[in-house]
Parts: sequence; C-alpha cells; structure tokens
Amino acid sequence: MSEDQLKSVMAAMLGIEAAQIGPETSTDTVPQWDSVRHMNLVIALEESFGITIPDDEVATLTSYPIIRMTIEEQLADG
Amino acid sequence: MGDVGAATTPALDRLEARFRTASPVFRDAVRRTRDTLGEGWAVQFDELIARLLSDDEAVAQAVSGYARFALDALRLQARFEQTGVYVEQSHGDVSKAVYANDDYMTSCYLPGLLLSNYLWPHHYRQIRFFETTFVPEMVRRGAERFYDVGVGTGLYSRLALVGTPGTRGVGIDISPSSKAFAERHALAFGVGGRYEVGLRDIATNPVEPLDWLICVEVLEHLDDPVAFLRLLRGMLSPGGLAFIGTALNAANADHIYLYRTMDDVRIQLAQAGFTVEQSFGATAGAPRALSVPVPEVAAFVVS
Repeated sequence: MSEDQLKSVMAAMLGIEAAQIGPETSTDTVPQWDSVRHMNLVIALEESFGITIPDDEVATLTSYPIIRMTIEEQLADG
Repeated sequence: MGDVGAATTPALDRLEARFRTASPVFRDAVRRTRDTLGEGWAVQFDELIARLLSDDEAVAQAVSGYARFALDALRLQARFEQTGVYVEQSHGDVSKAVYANDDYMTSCYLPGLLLSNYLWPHHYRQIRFFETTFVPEMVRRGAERFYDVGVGTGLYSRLALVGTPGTRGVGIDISPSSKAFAERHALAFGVGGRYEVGLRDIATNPVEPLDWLICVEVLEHLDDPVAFLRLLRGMLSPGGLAFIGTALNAANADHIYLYRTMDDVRIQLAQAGFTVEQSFGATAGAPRALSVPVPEVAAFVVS
C-alpha cells in the first residue's frame, strides 16, 4: 500500500495538506472531519484502493493510523 | 446565538458527550441541530432521552446504532446520487435481513431511527406538522381509537397518545423487535396502558375500520405501495382521517420504492381512494447541484 496514495486521498477528502498528515491526524485534530466528509473519504478510499470497507468498521476509521491499518488488512484479505 | 435562554437538558447533554467520545464524526450533530431547531426541540429531545435511554448503556447503544444507521444511509445516498435508483431488493429480502433480525433491529436500526427523527431537521419538522395539525384534530373530534400501521419505534403512536388523553392506540407491525420497542416507548411516557401492538400483515389479515389512522415511513419500504394504500383505505371508516408520511429521494438499507416528488405520492393516494386535506414537505438541505436529489419527507393528512 502506498502511503502517498493514502495521504493524497485523505487530503483531498478532508480539505487538508497531504504533508500535514501523519500519526496524529484524527477526528480530534481535523475540525472539519464530519460525517459527510467521513463517508466521502470512505468511498474514495474504496475506489482508490479497490477494497470494500465493511459497514461495521466505517465508524471506527477516525485516524490516519487506523485507516492505514484497515486498508492493509483489507488488501491482505482481498 | 450563544447560550442565552438555553434550556437545561441534562439527558441531551449526556447524549452529546457520548457522541463526542464514541462517534466523533457526529460530535457536532446535537449542537448543529439545536442551533437550527432551537430550545423547544432541545427540551422535547431531552425528555425522550431521559425517558427512553435512561442509563449510560442505553445511550451508548443508541449512539453506536445511530452512527451505523446514519453512515449506512450516507453511503447508500452517495450511490443513489450516482445511479439515480435505490439498490434493487424486494420487501421479502428486506424483511429477512432487517425486520426479522432482532440483533440488528435492537442494537442499530431502531435506536438509529429514533435518534434520526430528532437529529435530522426535516424529520423533526414532520413531527411538528403531526403535532400541530393531526393531533389537535384528534383532540377536537374526541378520537377514541387509532391505528398506527408500521409502528417502527412507536414515536408517532406515543405522540398521538400523549397529545390525545383518553384515546387508545392499536399498533400494527410485522417485526417483533418493533413491537417490543414501541410498547416500551409508550410505557416510558406513561401511556402504555392505552396502547397495544399486534404482529400482523394487513394484506393477509385485515382489521375492522377505525376513524383514525397513522402510517409513517412505510410506503417506501414496499414493492407495491398502491396495493398497500388500498388496504389502508379499507381500514379507515367513512369520515375518518389518516396521517400518511413517506420519504423521497432517500436511500436507506430498507428503502425499496423510489418516490421522486410529492406528486408521485399524491397520485398514489388518489388511486387508492384518498382525498388530500393537507400536506407537508421538508428537505434535508439545499441541493448541491441541479441534478443531485435531496432526501425529503412528505406527509399528508387524508380522508
């Protein structure tokens, strides 16, 4: 999985600079990360990485480390 | 606006705190809706939470259920915006996957549906339409009994029972989970003694007509709403009044029939033999573009 690809998608969907994204990036540090941006992010991640994020995991994707781990798991399962 | 004149709402504050810690993408949902709908909304919602979600565990489950319910809806709405149609499925498929799935109904669907009726302004505005038009008419005419077909969380049954002292409610649903939730809802508001819910499919097991009928957000869950509306017409006595609501352009896990405009519903009501006395529509927000459909509720008082 390309971290640059992940940061690029998150930057575009959350309206922040890719260079700012790191381990601390989360719903706590990005004020505009609301439910609509969140779902747009989930859909963009699925399209970009060719994965399907299970419904019961969608709400848990609240930080860069969790999202990275989830994508890695989904790619490994795929 | 600030907090000048803000009502004391300890239960709502507890819900908001839970959203902030457990479901941060919805951390502003309560504040944003409060700013939009005001302190009257906050007081009503606070009472609901205090009565029905009376401990931390119940609040936690409702927040979790709402997050799943609302994110599911957002995902399906995004797909609907691209395709222009709902995901193809039948009422039989949905009944098995959703209504007969007690774990999903109890932990996600019903708590999520309950909170969405207050957190989604267009749904709350429909509640207010019901409270300010239909319920006063029930009081004025001395309503003795009403049907609520498809009780869901029991919200509209409870509003009718609380708003019309003396009336008795007969709820009808196909889901045991909804029956249990709606009866608990009525009990929590002290009106359980005037309320019962029967598990019944009115298509195969019809009932005697009454003067009052409520049916909110059922039509969009059906394969053939007109056939169902004809059954409802047969459940309403001559001179009776019904409150019928549905959702337009609103994708959801169990939405099957796509209504695009209020006129789509009006036409079906007429086909079933109803006369529209009053109507109400409210959208979830402004459209992002001309071609992008916006979720909407539509409610009709019909005779």
